[in-house]
Amino acid sequence: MQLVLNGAGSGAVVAVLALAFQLVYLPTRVFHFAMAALYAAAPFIVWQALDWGVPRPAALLLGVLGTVALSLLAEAVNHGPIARRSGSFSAQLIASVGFYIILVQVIAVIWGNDPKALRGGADTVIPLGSVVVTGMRLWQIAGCAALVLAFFAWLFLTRVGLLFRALSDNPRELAVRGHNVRRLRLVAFAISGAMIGTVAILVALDTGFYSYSGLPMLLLSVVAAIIGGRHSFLGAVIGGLLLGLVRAQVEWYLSPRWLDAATFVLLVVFLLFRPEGILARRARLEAAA
Amino acid sequence: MNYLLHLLILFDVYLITAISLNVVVGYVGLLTLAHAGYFALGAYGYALAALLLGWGFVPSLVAALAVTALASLPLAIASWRFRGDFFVLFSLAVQVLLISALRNWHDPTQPFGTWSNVTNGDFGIMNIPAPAIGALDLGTQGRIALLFTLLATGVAALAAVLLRSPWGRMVRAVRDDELAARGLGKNIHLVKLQGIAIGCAVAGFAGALFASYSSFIDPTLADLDQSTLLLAMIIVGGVGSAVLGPLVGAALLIAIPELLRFVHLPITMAAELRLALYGLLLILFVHARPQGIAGRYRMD
Repeated sequence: MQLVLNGAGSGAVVAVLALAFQLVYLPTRVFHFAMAALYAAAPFIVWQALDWGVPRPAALLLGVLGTVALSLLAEAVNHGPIARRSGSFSAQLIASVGFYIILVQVIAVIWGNDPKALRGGADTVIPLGSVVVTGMRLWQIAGCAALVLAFFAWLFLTRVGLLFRALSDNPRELAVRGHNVRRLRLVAFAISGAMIGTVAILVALDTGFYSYSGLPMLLLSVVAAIIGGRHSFLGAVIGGLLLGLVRAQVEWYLSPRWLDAATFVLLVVFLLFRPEGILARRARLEAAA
Repeated sequence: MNYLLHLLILFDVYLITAISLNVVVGYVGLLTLAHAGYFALGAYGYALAALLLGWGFVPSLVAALAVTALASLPLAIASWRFRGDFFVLFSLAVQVLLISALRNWHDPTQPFGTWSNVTNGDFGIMNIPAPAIGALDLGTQGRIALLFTLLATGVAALAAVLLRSPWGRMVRAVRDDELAARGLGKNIHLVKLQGIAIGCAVAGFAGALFASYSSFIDPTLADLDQSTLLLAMIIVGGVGSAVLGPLVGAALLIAIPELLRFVHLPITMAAELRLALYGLLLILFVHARPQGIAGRYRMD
């Protein structure tokens, strides 16, 4: 039971990040490599704000807003112009890698390469029946659940959400019908940035952070998005939770050293035998309809 | 003088790596993130053959070539089914698996060289033998520089001949229009397999040379950051021209840190700014000149 809970905790984090990746990938076809740099940047912004004497809640908010700003920057100067010249998938990926390299190195120049912590005092431990959970973990799960729920509510209940789903389905037709695709793309990057920022800060509050901490998380979220189903937002969430649960089992029963290997073996198995992901059938039906 | 020789040796190693990556990216036409993994695999193959089996320089090099060529098989099989983003993902998986194998085939309680401790994990492998052919000791820096320059020239000449040969034309045909090539009765699976095996094996060859020069290797050679750096090198240099693009790319990779030396930066910032500059070059080139400085092919 404890294992399941631990898995759900890290799974929730991966699920939101996978959703953030998918949020950019589906509507814009950008392989958002720079996400790793955004993830790394968020806690540093909070740390800097605290250092300047900004009160804690405001500093946390500033961290999220800063991440959103960086995400918008990536679209405005990097991916948007390439997309307008109908650049290829590889061009977008390479540009994103370039943005990632620059941002991580800028972080390293400004704040150094040493790990830092944001923790405010010792954690509380909450016993729940037979299992134990720390206060921070609970916050993580709650925060992630809230983000996912809010996103799906937005996606299915608002008009912009409807346009957004249309954009993910067929960007060209949406543009032909006179909708502002550029603005919707910015919306995608903004929401994705907000999710990345929130999750990065929640994790950093618990475990600390350093300038390269984004890359492993990016890899995990990409794997989650693939195994969950490449054409659905819900798939990313399911994939993330599943990955978290599987990784908790591997960590306990095998060895933490082979965690990454196990994750990517899972990816290879999915790529070879079910490249459409778990939620494939639904996606295909939608495409046919 | 010694320092210049050191730069020349690194340039040779980078040049061979760039040529090999260009075969995969520019000719087979597949963006791969696993190349640093194959470079490291070659380095480990050489080191293990030389240290554990006691093989000489040339047999160890051949072992490195064979191991990496064999290990490129998953990538080749993936290339039969996937292209574009799926292939990039698959190569990412290969790279993570390679680095975790190098990191974790290791047991601190066992001595290096037993079955449970093959790679010595994060501690890396030390005292790797320098090049020597028969009784001829090639271990001095000058001799290594000469040998590596000869080898790099040889690889470049070979690449130029190979990629202009009918086989090279066939690879490009498969890259540009797979269906048409198949319609003309070409075995596209075999062509991709050959292209990827050659690209990866030559990267392993470069890794083996690097190991023989530096005499110390560790798993950071296989980092994803190394892969992206290699990619930056050939994309700025330009893919799809057999030698010129990789030559420009490797020269830039060597030249940028040396040029930055003249701008007096604090030593701690120099490494980061160097990498940031690669990132900037990457973005500028994708926006302004997607085929690179000397490239002939725009990826899609």
